[in-house]
Amino acid sequence: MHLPVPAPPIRGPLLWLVSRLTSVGFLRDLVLLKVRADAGIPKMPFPDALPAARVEGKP
Amino acid sequence: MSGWPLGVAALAQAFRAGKDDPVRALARARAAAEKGKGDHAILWKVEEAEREAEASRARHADGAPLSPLDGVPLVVKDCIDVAGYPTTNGTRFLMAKVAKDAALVARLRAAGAVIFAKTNMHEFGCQPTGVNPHYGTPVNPWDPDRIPGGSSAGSAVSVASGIAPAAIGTDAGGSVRMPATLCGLVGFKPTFGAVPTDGCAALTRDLDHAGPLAWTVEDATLLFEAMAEVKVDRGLRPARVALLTDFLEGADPAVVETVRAAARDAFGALPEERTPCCAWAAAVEFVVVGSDASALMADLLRDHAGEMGGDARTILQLGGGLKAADRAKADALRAGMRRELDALCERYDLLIGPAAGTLAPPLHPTARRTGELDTHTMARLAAVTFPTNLTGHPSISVPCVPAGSAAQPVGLQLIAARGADAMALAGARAVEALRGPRRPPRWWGP
Repeated sequence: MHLPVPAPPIRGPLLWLVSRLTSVGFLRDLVLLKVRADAGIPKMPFPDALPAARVEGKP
Repeated sequence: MSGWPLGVAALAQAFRAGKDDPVRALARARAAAEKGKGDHAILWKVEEAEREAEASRARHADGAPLSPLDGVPLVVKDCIDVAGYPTTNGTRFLMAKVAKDAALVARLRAAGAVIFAKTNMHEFGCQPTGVNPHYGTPVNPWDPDRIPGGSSAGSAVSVASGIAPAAIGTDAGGSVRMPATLCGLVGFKPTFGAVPTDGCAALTRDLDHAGPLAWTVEDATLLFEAMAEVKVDRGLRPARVALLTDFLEGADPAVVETVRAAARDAFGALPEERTPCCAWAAAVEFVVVGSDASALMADLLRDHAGEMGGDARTILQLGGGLKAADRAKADALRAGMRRELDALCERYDLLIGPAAGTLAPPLHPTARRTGELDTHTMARLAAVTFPTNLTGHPSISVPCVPAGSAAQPVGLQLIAARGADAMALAGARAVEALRGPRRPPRWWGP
């Protein structure tokens, strides 16, 4: 599976701060840039670019 | 496993035989809930339950129960409407009492089930961990220092710790199957639309499902039959089964080993299939849930942001910033995922993978107090449950750790064609026959 890159968990006072910062439009967009990149959202392909599901092996 | 002391089928059998009755069963459930109240599984006690149990006892005495569920005490997640009680959705501010039962609650009550409590959950159901800083995090009965899984955390903990024979949860990304897996239960997400979600708080426009969490596949089947108003064919035998290797990639070695062994024991040597579109499920789910949830909850965010947990608030705010181009690409990939699984389901009765990519992750002490945002761990855990929310295929998680082992729970996931809920349940029965449920160390039941 394509997974987000490892990043430190956000909790405690940092989570409180992030939740307040992301309520402000341009700060939200800045944080979102990193979140999108970490989650691989810009790299999502269109299905046509992917190989069809295929059999890897037979019993 | 009909001998399991608190299971639905076992209770129904005892009621029919006159060895037990709904009033005594409810009293035991209430006593267990009292013993386990420090585990934060239950949010609301439903007061009408005693009266309903007495009416059920009278029907059994007359030899006229309404269904196998008549008199069985159940709990439902607190995003599902029960008339006369709030539907908090895991928040501290949605406290208005609702006037009408959710459609699935009405169906369960029409079948005679006794809804006796509403259960704790991850706020808005927006993460699969079950951590709730407002009401406390339900305690995983296998290990209190690990997350219980979510978002239907209180439902899973209620069943796994012996309070309720079974529970109802909702699932927009694994929220029934994930806590069921991490607490060692069966969790069933039926085909999209098979169980009505009217009266269930929505996280998304079209990923939300409702389903049972139970000790056994038969218990889950009985609850599904009542909620979907269908009769499940119990004579099905899956013949063509494949293993989805993308679902195993990135998973914990212990999970991979346990799932492969259980699949081999239940179905023999299996062909292995790749799912290139489903492999992107984590990114697609983030976009779809983020954009849908932020739109659906815009008013709540405007009026109550300061009362929300930090993780829920951040997810809703960030979701509002996602671009239309992200959503268009996610929707295209989602359509590809559906075609991919549809094509595989034409060739196979069942597709198999893990029901969670990791064992239950540790619960950090600070996260207990404040909540937590950990996208990497969340995706490692739930990337394997996201695909069938995005495609609508039925998916069931069944415990697959050998009986007698003290290992943390691992779930095997079985996926069937859309509408083939009975086949998914049949496959789970085959696994259960070899593995079966295990009672956790933390236990409040009789």
